[in-house]
Amino acid sequence: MTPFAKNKPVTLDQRGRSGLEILGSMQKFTSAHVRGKAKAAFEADPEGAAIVRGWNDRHNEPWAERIAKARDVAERSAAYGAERLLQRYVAEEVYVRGIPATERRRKEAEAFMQSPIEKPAGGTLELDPNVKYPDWYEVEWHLMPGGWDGYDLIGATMSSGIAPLVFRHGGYAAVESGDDILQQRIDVAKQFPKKSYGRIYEPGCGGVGTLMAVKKVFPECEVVGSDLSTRLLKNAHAAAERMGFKITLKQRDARDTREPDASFDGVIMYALQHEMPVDVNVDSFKEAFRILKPGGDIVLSDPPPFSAVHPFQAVVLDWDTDNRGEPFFSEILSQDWPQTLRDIGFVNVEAYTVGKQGYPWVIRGSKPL
Amino acid sequence: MVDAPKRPYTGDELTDSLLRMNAELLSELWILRDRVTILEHMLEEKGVVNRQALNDHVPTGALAEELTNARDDLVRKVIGGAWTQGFSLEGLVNSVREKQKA
Repeated sequence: MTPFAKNKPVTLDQRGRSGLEILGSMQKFTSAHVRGKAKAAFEADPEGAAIVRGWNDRHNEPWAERIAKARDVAERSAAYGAERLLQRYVAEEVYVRGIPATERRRKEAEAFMQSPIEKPAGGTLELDPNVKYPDWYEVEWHLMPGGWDGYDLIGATMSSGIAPLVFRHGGYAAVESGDDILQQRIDVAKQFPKKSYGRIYEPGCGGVGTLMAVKKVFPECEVVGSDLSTRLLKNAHAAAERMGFKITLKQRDARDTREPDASFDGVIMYALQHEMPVDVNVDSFKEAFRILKPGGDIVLSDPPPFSAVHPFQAVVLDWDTDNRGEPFFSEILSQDWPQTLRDIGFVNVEAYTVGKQGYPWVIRGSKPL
Repeated sequence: MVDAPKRPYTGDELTDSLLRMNAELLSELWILRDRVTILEHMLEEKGVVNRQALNDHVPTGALAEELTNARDDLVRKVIGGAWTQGFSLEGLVNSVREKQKA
C-alpha cells in the first residue's frame, strides 16, 4: 500500500469514478495535441512569428499589452478556441461531478474521517479562533464552489477523485500533460542547497503535499506549516497523521507567522505566490526573511514569469486569471521576483526551471550570514 | 456561486454550445461503456445472463420508469449543459439529496 492509499476516504460509485476519469483523458489529450496544433498555428502566423522573435525586447511595453497582441494571434486558430473551451469545461466539471459523487458517499466519507488513526505520526494542529480573512482571500479558487472552506467533504473529493483521476494526468494551468505533480514537489524540495536542514517552514501549506515532499528529501528535518483555511488545515493534519508524516500545523497569515526571529533554517513556498496579491507576496517574503536564521535558505516555486516562456504559453497562463478562478495569476507572473528578494536583503538569488516549458519554476536565495 | 463563462471561447456562441454538448455526450458515452463493460464481465463471470438475454429483454414497470427518468436527465445535461448558468455548492449537494429523498 502506498502512503497516499492510506488517505483515500471513499471509493466513488461507477458514475463518479468514470465521469472523472473521462475528464482526465479529455484534458490530457487536448492539452497535449490540440494545444500543440494551436501553438503551431501561432508560430506559422507571420505576426505570431514576429512576436516570438521580439518577446523580451519590448521592455517599455507592459506585459498586459504584449500578451493582448499575442492573444489576438492565438485566437485566430480554431484549435486554440476549442482547447480553451475544453479547459474551462474540465475545470468546471471536476467539481460539478466530483462534489455530487462525494455526496453520494457521504456516510462512507464521514466514517473514514471519524475513524481512529492506527499509528498517529505525532504532529499537531493549532487553529486560531480569532483568525481574520483578508478581503482578497474571498475567492472561489480554481472554480471550486464555496472556496477552500465551503464543502465539508472537499478533502474526500480531492483525494479520492479529482487528484488521482484528473489532476494526476497534468495538462492544466502551468502543469504540462504527463507531468508527475507529486514528483514535481520533490524536485522543488531538492532545490534547498544544503545536505540537511534542522527546521523548515511553509506558509500557505494547504494539503501539506509540499511538506511531505520536504520530509522525503530531508527525513530528519522538523517541518512547520501554516495556512489561513481551517478546512485545509484540518484535512492536512488528518492526512499527515494517517500517512505517517509528523508535521506541526498552525493557522496563520503568511505575513504574520508569530514565529521567533531567526528560528528556521529554510522556508519554502509552493504554488502560493499566485494565490496572493503582489503586496501580500512582498510582506510574506519579508516575514520569511525575519524568521530565517542567518545563512538560512528560501525556495519558491510557482508558474514561470511571462518573460521566461514562449508567447503562446504566456497567453495560456494569462487565460487562467479570468477563466479558472486565479485572480492574481497575471499580476504575479509580470513581476521581477528575484529583484524583490534582493531588495528585501536575500543574497545569492537565482531563478531557473526544473521542468519542461518553464514549470516548475524555482527562485531561491539565502539570508546573509 | 461560480459564474458561467463570460464569452464564447471559439469565437461564436453556437460553436461553443456544440462543443459543450459534444463533451457531455463523450462523457456520458464513456460512463456507459465503462459500466456495460464491467457489467458484461461480471455477468459472464457469474454465468447469470448472456448477451442474447440482454438483447431480448423489454423494460416494464419500475425499470421502464427508471430508464425514462435517466433518459430525461441525460437530455437535460447534454442539451441544457451548453447554456449552463453557473453552479453553486448548495446546488450540487442538493441535487444528490433530492434524488436520495425521492
